[in-house]
Amino acid sequence: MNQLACSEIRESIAGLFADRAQIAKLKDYCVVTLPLQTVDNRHVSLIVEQGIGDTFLVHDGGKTESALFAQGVNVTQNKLEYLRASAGCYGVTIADNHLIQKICKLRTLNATILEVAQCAILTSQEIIGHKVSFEEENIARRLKSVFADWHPPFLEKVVFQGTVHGETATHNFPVIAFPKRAQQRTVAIKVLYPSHPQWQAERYGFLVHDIRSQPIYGSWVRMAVISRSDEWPKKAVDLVRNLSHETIEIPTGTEIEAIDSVPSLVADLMTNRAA
Amino acid sequence: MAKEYFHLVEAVRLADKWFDVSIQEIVRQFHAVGKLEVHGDVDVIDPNSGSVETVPVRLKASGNAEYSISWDLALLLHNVRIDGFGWEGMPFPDILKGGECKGWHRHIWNPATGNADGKTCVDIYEVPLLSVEDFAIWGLRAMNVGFNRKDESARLF
Repeated sequence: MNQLACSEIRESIAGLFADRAQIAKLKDYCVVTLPLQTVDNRHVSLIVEQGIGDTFLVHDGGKTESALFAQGVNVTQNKLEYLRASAGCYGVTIADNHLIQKICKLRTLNATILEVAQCAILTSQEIIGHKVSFEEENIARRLKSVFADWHPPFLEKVVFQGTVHGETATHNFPVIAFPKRAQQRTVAIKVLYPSHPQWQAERYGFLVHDIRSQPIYGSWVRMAVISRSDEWPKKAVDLVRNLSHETIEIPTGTEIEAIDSVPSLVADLMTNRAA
Repeated sequence: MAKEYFHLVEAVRLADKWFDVSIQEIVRQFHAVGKLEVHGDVDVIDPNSGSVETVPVRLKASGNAEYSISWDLALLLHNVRIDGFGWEGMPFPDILKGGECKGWHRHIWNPATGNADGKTCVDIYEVPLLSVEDFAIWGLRAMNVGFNRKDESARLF
C-alpha cells in the first residue's frame, strides 16, 4: 500500500468521526455519541462533566447497565468483578452505582473518551449470554398453582396475595398457609427477585422487623424464596437467611423442581412445631 | 411444563396491563438503585385456541436518575424485551415512519429476530426538561400499563 492510500484512510477515518460523532449539551454536561457500536446494537453515548479547573469526569451515565437490564440481562456480582478487572486495564473504573467512568485532565480528554467507550462496549457484550427463559416465569404464580392443589389434613386454608399490617406499613405475601390446629404455626412465603438483591434483602428486613412485633404475625414462620439465587451476592443471601426461618435458594433454570418441593417444606415447618 | 407465549406478543402489547407498583416507588427506585423489576400477569385471548391465556410479564425501569440518557422502560416476556422506551444519541432508522431520527424512541417488536429491536421515534419532552416521574408516567401510559395509585411503600421510608 502506498503512502497516499494510507493518508486517504486516515482522512476517511477522521471524516467518519467528524461527520457522525454527535454532541449535545444537557444541563451542565455534554453528551458525546460516537460512531462506535455496542454489542447490543446501540451507539456509545458518554457524558463529559467538567470538574474543578481542567479536570473532567467521563462516564456512561449508567446507560450500559440500564440498557442490558432492560433487555433481560442482570449483571451479577461475579460478572461485575470481571468487568471491573477488564475496565481496569484501561484505567477505567466501574463505580458502585455502575457508572463506567474515568477522571482526566483536558490534555487526555480525547483518549479518555475512547477508553471509557471501549469499556462500555466491552460491558455490552454481556448481552451475548442473554437467554430466553420460559422457566423463570413468575414464581409467585407457580407457587399459587402448586398450593392450589395442596390439601393436607392439617391445613386450614391457603391465602394468596395475603396482606398484613405491620407496625408502620402494609406488606404482602404471595402465599400464607394457615394450619387447622392453633398449636401449629402459620407459614408465610415471600418471593425475592434478583432485581438489586441487596436492596431487596434490606427491604425484606424492613418487612420482618415491621411485622415481628405484631402479636399475630410475630409468631408466623417466615419462608423466603430467593429467585435466581446465583445472581445474588452472599451478603444479601446471608441477610435473608438470618431473617427467615427457612430460605429456599433457587438457581436459574431450576424453578419448577424447587417450587414443587415447597409444600413439603411448609408441611414440615407447620407440623414440626406442633405442641 | 412452562408455556411459550411469543405468539401472543402483539396481544400482550395492546392489552391493558397492571403492575403492583406506584409511580412514586418507581421514582424512588431510580434514585436509590437505578433498577426496578415488577412481575405481573396479563390475560389475553389466544387466537390459536380461542381461550384466555394468563401471560406472565415483567416491567422493568432502569437508569441513573441524574442522567436521563440512561433511562429505560421495558416490558419483558420470557426475559425478552417486547416493548419499551429508551434514548439513543446516534440517528437510527425509524422502522414505522421511515427516515432517520434520534433521541427518545419506542422499541418495536420484530417477529423475525424475536426481540423488540426495531425503533421508532416518539414525541416526548427534550431531555433537559424531562423528569424521571414524567418519563415513567408517559412511558407506562403509552405501553397500556396501569399502576398502583396508592403509594403503599411510602411508609417504608
